[in-house]
Amino acid sequence: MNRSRAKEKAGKAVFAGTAAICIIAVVVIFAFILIRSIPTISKIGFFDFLFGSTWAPDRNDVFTEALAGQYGVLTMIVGTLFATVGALAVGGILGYFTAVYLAFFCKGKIKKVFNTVVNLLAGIPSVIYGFFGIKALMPLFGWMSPNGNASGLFLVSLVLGIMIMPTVVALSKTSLEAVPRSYYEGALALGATHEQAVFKTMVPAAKSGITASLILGIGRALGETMAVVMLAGNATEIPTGLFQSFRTLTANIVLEMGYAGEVQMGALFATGLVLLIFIAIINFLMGLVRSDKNSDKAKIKKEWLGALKNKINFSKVGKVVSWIAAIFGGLFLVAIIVYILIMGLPHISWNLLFGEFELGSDSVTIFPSIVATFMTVVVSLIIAIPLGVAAAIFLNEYTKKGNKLITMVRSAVDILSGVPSIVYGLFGAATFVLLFGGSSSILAGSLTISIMLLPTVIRSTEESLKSVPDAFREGSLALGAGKLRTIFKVVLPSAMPGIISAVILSIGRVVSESAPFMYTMGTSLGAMPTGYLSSSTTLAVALYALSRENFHTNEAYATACVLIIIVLALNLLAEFVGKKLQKKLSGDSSNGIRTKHKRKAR
Amino acid sequence: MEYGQNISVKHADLYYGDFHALKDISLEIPSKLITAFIGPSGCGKSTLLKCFNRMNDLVEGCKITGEFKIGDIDIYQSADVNALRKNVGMVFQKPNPFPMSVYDNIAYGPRTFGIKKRSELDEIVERSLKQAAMWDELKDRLGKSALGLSGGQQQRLCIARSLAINPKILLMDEPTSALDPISTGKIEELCNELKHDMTIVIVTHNMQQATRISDKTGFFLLGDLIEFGDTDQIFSSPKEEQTERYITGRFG
Amino acid sequence: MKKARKLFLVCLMAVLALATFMFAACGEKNISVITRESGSGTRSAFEELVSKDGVTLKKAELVSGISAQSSTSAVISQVASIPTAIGFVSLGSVDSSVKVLQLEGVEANSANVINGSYKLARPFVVAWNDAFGENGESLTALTKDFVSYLKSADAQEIIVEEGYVTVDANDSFAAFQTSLTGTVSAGDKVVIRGSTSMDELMDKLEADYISIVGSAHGVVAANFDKQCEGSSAGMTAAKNDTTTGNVIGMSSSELNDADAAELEQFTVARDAIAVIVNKDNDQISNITIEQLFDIYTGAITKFSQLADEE
Repeated sequence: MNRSRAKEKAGKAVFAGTAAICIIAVVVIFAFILIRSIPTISKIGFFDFLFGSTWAPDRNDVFTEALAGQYGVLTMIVGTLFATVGALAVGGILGYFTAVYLAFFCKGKIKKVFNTVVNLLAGIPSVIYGFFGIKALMPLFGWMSPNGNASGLFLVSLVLGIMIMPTVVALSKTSLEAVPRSYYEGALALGATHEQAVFKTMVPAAKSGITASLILGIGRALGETMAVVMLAGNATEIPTGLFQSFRTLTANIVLEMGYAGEVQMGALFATGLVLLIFIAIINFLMGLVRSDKNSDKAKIKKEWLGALKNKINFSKVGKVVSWIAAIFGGLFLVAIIVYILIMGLPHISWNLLFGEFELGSDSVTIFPSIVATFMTVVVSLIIAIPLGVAAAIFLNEYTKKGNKLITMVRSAVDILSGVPSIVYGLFGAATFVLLFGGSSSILAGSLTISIMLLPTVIRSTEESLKSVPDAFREGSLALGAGKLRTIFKVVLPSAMPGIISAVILSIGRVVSESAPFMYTMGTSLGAMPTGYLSSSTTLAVALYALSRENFHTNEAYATACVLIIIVLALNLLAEFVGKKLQKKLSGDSSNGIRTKHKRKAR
Repeated sequence: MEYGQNISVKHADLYYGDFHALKDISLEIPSKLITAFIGPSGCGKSTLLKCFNRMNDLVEGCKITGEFKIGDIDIYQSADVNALRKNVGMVFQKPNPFPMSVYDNIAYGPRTFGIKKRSELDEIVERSLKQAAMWDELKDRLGKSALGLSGGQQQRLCIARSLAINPKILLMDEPTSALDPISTGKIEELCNELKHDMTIVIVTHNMQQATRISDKTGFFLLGDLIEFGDTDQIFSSPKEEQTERYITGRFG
Repeated sequence: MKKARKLFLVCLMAVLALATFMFAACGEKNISVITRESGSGTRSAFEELVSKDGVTLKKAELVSGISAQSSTSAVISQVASIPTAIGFVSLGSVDSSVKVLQLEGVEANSANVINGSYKLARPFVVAWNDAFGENGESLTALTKDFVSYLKSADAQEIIVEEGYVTVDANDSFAAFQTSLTGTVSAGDKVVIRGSTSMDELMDKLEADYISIVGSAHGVVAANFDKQCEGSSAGMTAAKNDTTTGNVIGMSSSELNDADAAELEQFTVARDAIAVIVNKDNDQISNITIEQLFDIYTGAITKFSQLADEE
């Protein structure tokens, strides 16, 4: 029997190891950014850097001489803050209410379709959002701006909000649907209406999942670059109105990284550092808010809110708002997708999809990029899903509630989710690319994005694991099964919905990201990759490359179409596989036991 | 290691953090009889029950001192918790069938202990369901999800599931408190059948149930074992005043 | 009472909304000034060439709230979407979604760049680290050969074909003679970094070069590693290449002094910068350099002020 104890110990060690990887990843990335920023910060001066309101770098500045440029990021810190708050307001509220709508006020076919569409949104690249913002939204809102240019906080918040919506919806929905039905029935039995039961019992019970989704959403908003660059205006001034040109920290990095001199480069890394600190602070604050539940102030606030809720018949309003949010969100999704289809479908050609690459030719083929994208999705999922699920298992099944280790890992995970994708790209370039001989490769890109996927996988799986009733675990243990067996045979199968959700979100992320791949995999369309060490472009990067100089805009839109179709296909596949797995495990199929048995009985 | 069928507790104390939940408990549970633990809520009877299969190990901050022996084996000295639980089965207050088919629920235990052959599993499933008097009800829906059964059926399924691994002792923590009288009756009948093969310890706060089925009864109050003896004696002429006050309904 | 209060609030909000709408919608809109990111060669060229009273845009303070885009496409899309927008892009990338202004009465086209009447013309410069010699003698064999191709008449043919402007009608270019011997290995790379405006053109030049030497010397597309992140990025890359000798930087504007001090360069083509406005903008069809300066520094904020000037 010592073998099984050894197995249990080994299992625990493996799970703990995967959780530790997250901590290691954060520490390494943090160290990487720190090392590249310290020389500059010490040259410029920490406070001058943080609170200086002029950003006018000189790419010829060197460390050994006096600085000709100015390096103050205050305007961009403010810009980022405002944009994030705005994005959270739009995306958080829309996402929250849409999740409630999907979980409780929506049925059958509509629910399925809506769900698929929301997941699809997660796969749309930032560049497309940017173009949609310019072509469709700017004319719409231009009249509100003094110079007819709708660039600014309003537009950025709106588009960023829509971009983070799928993340918020997916995670919140999983949590909401995992709340035990008995809460709902209990409320109804007390005379509550459907809406009241939803808002007063179900939603509060899902609080941890909803908060987790909001944190992930903030992370995404903080780190977003491409769309912001196209819609914010990028002036290095503090935004004093909703339609004034402003710049975020991430936009700053992307705009200047390509040509920065040594001091400027260090300043850009320091900008990345500021972002990391931001997300650490936000996590800390969120944690405080959660634990503030029992203080006196909180109690008074609760009473006041409670009285207010009763006066406005909150639940009815809530239901209406959910409907409105879902409709608004739905309209937006449909608009973007329709826009892409209209602009791109006419330009999809056989050559575009399956042609052979020819240097200098005017005809474009994205066949190599399609292949590269699939290769990347496969490898990154193979790495990130098991790692993430294992880490989540460790966090949820092996550690005691107040354990310092879990808070550390959780914080690490949250911080990882806030690292801007461009920082991941630079990190990947400095590590994985060098590891494989100094040239870009699909493998380097896959490894880079695997790290990016971890937070989402971990959070989603964790929420799912939490929702598995302890009664199952107790039942299994009481039958003499060890912890490992309990986890693999009872807990994980029940947590399948959350894991599938994580897979879907991950697929969307891989397909839609560009910055992590630009610095690790390559940026020019080229020939078919011959293996994982070839350099290539994913579809999103190809899209970006095609759209830059205005020579291949049609092909760019066509690529966007292809991209959406691929995301849709992969999502549907994941859902299908998930359903099959669940059916098999929960035994809702009548299989041949019956007949076998009848034979035996005779 | 062979596990016996009697339980011996000597000077056992249990703390949940600072809370002293069990105070110097000593008792002998005889083999192949039904022993009932009765007492008001919070008196420690379920806690003591969970000591017998070390389910209290799962609770944070739980400290246990004293001796717990099953047959000759001191269960807190032995490291093999899984073997212990194979021999000491448990049925919970709220039925907790796994979200799997009926067949897979019952086969879960045997599969854990290495039985893989389909024919053997089929046999075990049939035997367990017959032992739990459910075979006729369920033989045609073995492949269907267990969650579709009624509350009473689910609980009897859980009992069948525990029986599938041939425990020497069966612990039942208020197994019928959530069930209707008919299901309760069926389970009580089941207990009477099962005691021919195994020792049963049942926690209940239904005194009539205790009088109906148990041979021995222990009365607990606030963590103390007030009185332990033959059921007839406890209910007709209790030695302690507190026992008498409880069974006559003066409190609890 | 509660209902009345609710009603009042709703009315108040409606009135406020209406007021905002009226305020925002009435009156002529300001000009929406659009530029490129600071590392862009196109922007650099534009800011050097646009000046007033001896001060170039580069030294002047640009209008507050200027909108900086990081690609040609984004500039064109914005100008096409915003009625009062003005921007500048390479002439070769203009499409029918925007209107090109005349510059001081001169139409923007190749002929006018060649004869010098169109003022906003900038060079496409190719540069490499001066450690490798004025003619790139010490560059790697492949790189050196490619550079000599770029200086040849064959290259100029492609440049004209693609709609760019040959360097000087009076310059003569020799036909290209390769200096390669034997076959080139797969690991031998020419690294090209720099201007996004030159990306497409360079693709064509690479292809033409390969068609000439490819079969005889085994040169293929994989021997070229090109990434375009802006002219400054190209110059930085060339400056950093102190030992290998295979980096060619592309700049779509004159090199500044700091770069020129460390690099060898030559102009391979010229390109016109087109000033574009929204297609529906009928307040303006012609603009002067000084007016451009005023617009980009915020001295002029409405198109109607231009009409007043005249």
